Amino acid sequence: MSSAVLQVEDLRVRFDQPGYRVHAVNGLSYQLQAGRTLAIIGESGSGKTVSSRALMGLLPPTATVTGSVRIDGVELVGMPEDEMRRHRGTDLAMVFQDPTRSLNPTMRVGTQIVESVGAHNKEIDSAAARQRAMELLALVRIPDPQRRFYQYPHQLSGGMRQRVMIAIALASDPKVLIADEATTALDVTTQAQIMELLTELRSRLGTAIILISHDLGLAASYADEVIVMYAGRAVEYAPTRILFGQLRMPYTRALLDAIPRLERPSHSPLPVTPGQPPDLTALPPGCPFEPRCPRAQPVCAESRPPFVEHEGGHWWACWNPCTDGDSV
Amino acid sequence: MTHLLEVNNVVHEFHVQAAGGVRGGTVHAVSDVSFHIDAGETLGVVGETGSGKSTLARCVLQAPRPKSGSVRFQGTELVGLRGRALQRGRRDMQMVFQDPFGSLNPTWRVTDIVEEPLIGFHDGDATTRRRRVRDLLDLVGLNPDTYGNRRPRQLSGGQCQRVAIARAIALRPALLVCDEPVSSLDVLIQAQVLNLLEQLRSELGLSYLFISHDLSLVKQVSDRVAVMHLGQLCEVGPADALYRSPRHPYTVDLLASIPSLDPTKPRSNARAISAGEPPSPLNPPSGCRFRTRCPRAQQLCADERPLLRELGPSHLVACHFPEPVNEPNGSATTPSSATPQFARP
Repeated sequence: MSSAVLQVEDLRVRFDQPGYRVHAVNGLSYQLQAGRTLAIIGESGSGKTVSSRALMGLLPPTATVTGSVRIDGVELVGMPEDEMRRHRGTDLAMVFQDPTRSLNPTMRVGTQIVESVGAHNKEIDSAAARQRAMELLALVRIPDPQRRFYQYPHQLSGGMRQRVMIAIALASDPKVLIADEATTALDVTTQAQIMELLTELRSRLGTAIILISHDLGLAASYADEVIVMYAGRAVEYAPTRILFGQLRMPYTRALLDAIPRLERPSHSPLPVTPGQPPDLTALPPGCPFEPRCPRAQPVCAESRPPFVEHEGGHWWACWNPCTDGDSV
Repeated sequence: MTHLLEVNNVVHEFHVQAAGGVRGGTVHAVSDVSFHIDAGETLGVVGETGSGKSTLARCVLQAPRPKSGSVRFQGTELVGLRGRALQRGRRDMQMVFQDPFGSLNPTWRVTDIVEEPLIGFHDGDATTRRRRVRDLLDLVGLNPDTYGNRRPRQLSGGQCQRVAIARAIALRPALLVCDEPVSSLDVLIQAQVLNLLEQLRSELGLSYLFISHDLSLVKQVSDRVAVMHLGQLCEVGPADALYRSPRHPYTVDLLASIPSLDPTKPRSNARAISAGEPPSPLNPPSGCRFRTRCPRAQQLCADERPLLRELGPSHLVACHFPEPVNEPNGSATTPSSATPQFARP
């Protein structure tokens, strides 16, 4: 597809440690169109954060990244750091989970935004950079930007700090904005505000958004497409309505069933998936979810199900997928 | 009728200093909170960060002692007790914390951690204690032979939380205070731990004071729910009634902010957007503390603090202008009538 702003193909990340090797991402492929939101959902250790940091080139030197990441046709994997620096921020920007630790506590927030504006546009003079920073603060709906510009991060609330982080990320008009658990540390009302802001910015600026989260509810409410990851692989991928309408992957089913719901009566037992996620240093030859899967069959332990498009736009990796009847 | 735990007009404040230690300020963490828990009952407390829910839980345990008010547990007034008397008074009240690693001593083995409260209260000799520890680990679903000799760093988050629960129930408490016990766990592990808490409740007849920021989670575990905002309770009621028909505008906002699991349902949180951020507990608004974010606020709300009053069977609401009651078959305007499309039959 030509309109895809971001193309990820067979992305693999492994960490080499003395004595063992962690296979964090094992062949992840997806495409993202401009102005769309893709949610990457998974538990801790599923590779969702590592894969997005691999896109940004932000992994430590112990990581080995292979595969292909193309943004507007430019290959990022294997690009030298000084060249990568030109794409990071301008093409891809990231908003992290913890806004408190992502901001410099000793600098006024305005200065931090100005710095980020200047970093991507060397020609801009200081007055124009300030002007732009003020605009950004207004863009992310910070009330009274004139006053907030001169405040320090500790004087802002968590939601406000996350808005500043988004302003910094948007300083260079990125094509893709990666929100890595950007609302996890926030309260539910603040989360709703930040998500509405991201959705609004997406339609105003045409930025594509990758939403990384453990929260399927966030994906259902705000994403156009969803990838569910398990043990470093995508296990289900579909447009949001199709995914939640016709679940195929037993793992996604298990995730969805384990979430406490308002509709459920109090004290009703939750369906339990036994066991722990697999050890990423020694992945089994078969499906990594097989030991915990209620639908497991002998073939599941022997060979890994391929991740292919089974129905229009709906991809999954399972030998014995759920049928429509189960998914209600 | 006496309640297992009765908390009346508890107030707790922290004094803080601004940069340089010049100007002092007072954080009104818990301001005049009253509630009760009956034997075998679970009370869920929900609220946002800074609403004072953790401070409230700690005040119940007298750590720290509340500034004023009364905490009666099993008929004994705990406020004012010291030393041995306090220890005896709260022996049947234990706590499970949010951070499963941080609440366990990293250098101790699992068996030592679970045995510690038994030693502290001189419960049995060494042999019976060891047997009890094995039983406890079995009860929380950890094989004592596999896990007994491990240290916390050799356990996953969910396993650490199981150890913390085993330690908390070692003294056969009547009340377990759980402060965000599953917030740091992944959803599949979270379901395992929630089911464990549920199983212990029915097997041991435990009562819970369950603190969380997650409304769906609180619904799952609670008989009654208390909604806390800026140090005050704004709504207390039976879980079903409160979620079916929230009467306090803040509860309505909280429920509307939960992302729906149904992508075909339009988002209904335009209201939460307008509600803004919570005011500072250093300088709470006069009258109703929610009025600055409230769409229904009027002059009366600024002048007079609304007190909890009963608007339905055991359904208390602190609001001058409460939301109208939802009919049981539900209008579509509130999230509590969310389509049960994904609920299992």
